Amino acid sequence: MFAIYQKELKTYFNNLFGYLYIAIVILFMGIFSSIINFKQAYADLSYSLDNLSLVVLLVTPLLTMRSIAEERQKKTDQLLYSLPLSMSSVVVAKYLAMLTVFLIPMAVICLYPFALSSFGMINFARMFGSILAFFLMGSCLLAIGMFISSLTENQIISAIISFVVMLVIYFSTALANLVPATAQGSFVAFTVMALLFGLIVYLMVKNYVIGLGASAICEVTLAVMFRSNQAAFEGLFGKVVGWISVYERCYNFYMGIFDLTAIVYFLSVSFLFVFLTVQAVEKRRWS
Amino acid sequence: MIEVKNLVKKYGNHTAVKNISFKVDTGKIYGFLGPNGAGKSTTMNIMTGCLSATDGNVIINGYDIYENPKEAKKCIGYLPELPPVYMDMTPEEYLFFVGKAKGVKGSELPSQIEKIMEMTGITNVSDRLIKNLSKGYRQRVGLAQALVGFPEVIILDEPMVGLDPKQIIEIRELIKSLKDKHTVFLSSHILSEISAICDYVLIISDGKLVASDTPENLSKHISGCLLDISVKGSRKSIVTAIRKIKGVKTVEVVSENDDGIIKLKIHSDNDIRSEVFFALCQLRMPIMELTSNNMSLEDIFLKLTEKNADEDDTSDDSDDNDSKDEDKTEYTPLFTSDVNNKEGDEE
Repeated sequence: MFAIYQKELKTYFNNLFGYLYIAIVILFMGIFSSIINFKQAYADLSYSLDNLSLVVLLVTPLLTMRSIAEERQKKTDQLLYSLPLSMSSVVVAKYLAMLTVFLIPMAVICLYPFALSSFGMINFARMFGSILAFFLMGSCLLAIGMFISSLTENQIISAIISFVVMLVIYFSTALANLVPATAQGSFVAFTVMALLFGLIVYLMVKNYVIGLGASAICEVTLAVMFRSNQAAFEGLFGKVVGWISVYERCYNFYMGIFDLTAIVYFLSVSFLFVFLTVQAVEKRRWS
Repeated sequence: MIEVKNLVKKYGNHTAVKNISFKVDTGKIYGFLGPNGAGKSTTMNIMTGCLSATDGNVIINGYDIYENPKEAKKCIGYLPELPPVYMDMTPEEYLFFVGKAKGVKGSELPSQIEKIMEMTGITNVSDRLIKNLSKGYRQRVGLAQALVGFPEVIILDEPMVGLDPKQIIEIRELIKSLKDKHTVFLSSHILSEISAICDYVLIISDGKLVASDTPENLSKHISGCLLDISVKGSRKSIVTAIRKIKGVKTVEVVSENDDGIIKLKIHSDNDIRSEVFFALCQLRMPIMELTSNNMSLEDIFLKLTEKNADEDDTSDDSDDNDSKDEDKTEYTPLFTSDVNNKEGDEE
């Protein structure tokens, strides 16, 4: 496992992607904090980090797009399959290598509170809390990106899909607000989601019956819930999306609240997508 | 060493591997022969755990490849069809990576890798990026990768592809030298390559094992006679006369021209040139031309696999559970070819 980790880490620095990722994150953190923290003398990193999350979202595919897709494209995955290693350790090693690259700009960001402290009183706990939340959010994005990379053979497609997915996640709350807050509005939005879910299931298993079945089950459950408690559906869609959104979860930390549920949430999302990646890689052997 | 039992692999509705069973013993070189798309790579991928079988087991050194993949894979070095090399690494880095991933002891690794690089002849390119190497060198790096850790079984999928003739001879020698300590299982669609180095040959066609024997026995099976003959006379009497000769299997009229000269192809079990001569003498039909045909080994092999595929089609599924012994009898001799002579001609 360590061998894979080492090799992955080396690959990031053998080509441009690792450097580019680190450089972009550090550069934009510098720009945001010089405007927000230094010029406007705002003694907290939260606004800068909030802006930076859009940048991290845009550059995450740089790290994740190759991870599994390239192995598949270049047929090097056959080596990994024939090595005496379990697929979970291979995937975890790859994920840890990504996290290590991500930790480098985070380490630089950790210097900011000290730089700011020379200008006056600052709240270290709040700042490091924000940085921690930001890091956990970034690792969720990396896990999601890696999962998407495991679904395709083509790096470019993997990058584009990750990109779209992350943009949707970023704007999900804004998009959800477009849905009318009425119970009917929520119901329609959930219906669309159920259909989308069915479509994804169909694309994965290539079977109409299972795809339609998945949609139908979700839809029936929704209908039953809607009939029994219509009032609960008012504004529910927005709430659910806000609850799921990776970005929203950071806000408590930015406001200085140490939110344990958010940490559990971030860790679970990362774990879930690493797990799904392992499954996708294992599934490849059965195709 | 390796035991493959009733292996089946289906891709959707297409069955790539149809119930293959065989055993591989220690200290021999096994050749796995078959035309393109016969299921060689699929079988090898299943044996190494890169693919999962629809049905059947692969047991390596007593470990099942699915139930005990780690232990089983420790005994295997695998070179897939395309060498699984990382383009951004140098061969040396790459081999160190593979060595570590295979769990070779750190203290042994440098000397082992040096030895392997020497064996495969890549020492002089060890510090160049793999993406800048030629296909032949990449193939050798792939082979070196399979050797790292000196596993007991070395499985090579078409190891000679992309190599120049000199390299082929070198790699052949290398594979022969591995025999002392390792079991080698290699696939190819080139019979001469296999007959040159293998102790045992498995022939697969259309997903089925059609023959498994030593090359000597196989060439005995293959031995037979193929004659090209031109005779002046009546077609009917020629064919009936030749059919009467003992050992004749098929008589095929190739062409018949206006002068009354008929060209035929005769397949027989043994050399029947003199019998043909006397038979036609009796009919007073002169032989204008008679050639005992040496087909290339590849041709014979292709005919053999084609024929077996046809036979399989007619008697499909009923013999699915045949053991390899029965396969041997099912596989009938077709043509003559003096294996050694032919090789001599080529060189």
